[in-house]
Amino acid sequence: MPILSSFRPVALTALAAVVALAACTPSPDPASLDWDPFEARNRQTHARNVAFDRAAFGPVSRAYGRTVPAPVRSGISNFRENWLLPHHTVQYLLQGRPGLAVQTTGRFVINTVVGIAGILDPATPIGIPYRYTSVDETMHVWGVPEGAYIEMPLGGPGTERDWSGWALDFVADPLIFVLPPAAFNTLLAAGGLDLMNERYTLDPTINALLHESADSYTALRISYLQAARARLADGVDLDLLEDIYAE
Amino acid sequence: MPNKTTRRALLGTGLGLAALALLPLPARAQPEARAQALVAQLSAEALDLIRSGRPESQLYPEFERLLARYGDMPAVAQATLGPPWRSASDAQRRAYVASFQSYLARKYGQQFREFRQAEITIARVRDAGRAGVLVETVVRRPGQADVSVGWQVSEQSGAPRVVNIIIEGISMIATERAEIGAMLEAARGSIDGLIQTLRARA
Repeated sequence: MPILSSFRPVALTALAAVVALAACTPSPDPASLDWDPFEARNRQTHARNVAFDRAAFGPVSRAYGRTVPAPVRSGISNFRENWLLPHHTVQYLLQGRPGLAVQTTGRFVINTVVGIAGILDPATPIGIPYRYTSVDETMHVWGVPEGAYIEMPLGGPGTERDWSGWALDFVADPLIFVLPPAAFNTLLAAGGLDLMNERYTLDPTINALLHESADSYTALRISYLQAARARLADGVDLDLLEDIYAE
Repeated sequence: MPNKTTRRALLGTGLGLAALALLPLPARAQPEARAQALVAQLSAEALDLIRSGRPESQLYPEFERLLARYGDMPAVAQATLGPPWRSASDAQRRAYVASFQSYLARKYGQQFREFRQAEITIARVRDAGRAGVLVETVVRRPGQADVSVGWQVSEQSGAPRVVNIIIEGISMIATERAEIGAMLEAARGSIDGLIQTLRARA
């Protein structure tokens, strides 16, 4: 998940609007950090999101992080991530990456069986770490451009492709067809707690970004786009490094 | 992001007895070896500093000294300011570099304090041509997601110096260029106004 994934969707209400975005606008320059056709509306949403983080999400997450012991919070994160793995396996197959699909299945089996339904994570120490994927990455692999930057109410930063993918991620999760609704709701609740945990563990970074930046809207957009692109490229693209001595 | 739960956290020991571990890397070309050595030394010193338990009033000036010693701060400051650098007087340039450096030391010093219990490992060293060498490190903390921190090292000043830090793919120069631009705009394009803003934040 991106470093800013604390801002990942909590608003299911946005779903319908997002599906309509599925046709992504191609950017004039895929490496651009400044192309932002929806800036005016995004900035209005951003102001409300920052206010929400200051008044509610930030304080509640800090209270959660300080009250609940770290091993419990890690256990919830592990559990949540474990049950995303069937979804990830499907996406890796769609991406034409059978190796990752096999690895993900192996991780799922080990952590579900040995790791007590995924609360513990014995797979990472033996060399099968968690790797996040999504419909967004699948579309990226298929060559769909990321589209314009969109900041969603309560959802935070994303791109047209990312938000469309996010909506599809729900229906692309095989568990939705297998698990009883109660179990699925437990996963959603764990996801909510994990979101607070992430907000808590990244507290200084997020505070600096959202509440101390000279222009927090641009700071968030630039950070989000770079982190998201680096994640999809599995690292920093050397071609994007600038020669700072060049005039 | 990759999880998170290290073995240590599972064992429930919060003991952050961290060590700087260098992966045995194969013999490399000279600039790459020098860049790697620089980053190993810098990260060890920075970790020592944040674990020293000094009060903030001493921590940030010390952190600034580290930045000045290992980084090419005048070049970073100039690249971050962009075109307005050309129209600035020598005195303004000096004042801007000094205030930028203090501002950066506080901002990134605050972030770096979160790495008190961290273990920093060099994962990969890559040649990026004219841009220099990218030394990629992984910061591991008990019970938290790993953070990837890349150090761009250049020898264009005559000696290996850090010229950019890339955290989870996010370039410090790109971020600060936007920030400095916003501060300059708020100061109606006045370099002196920008310097005042930076001083107030240092």
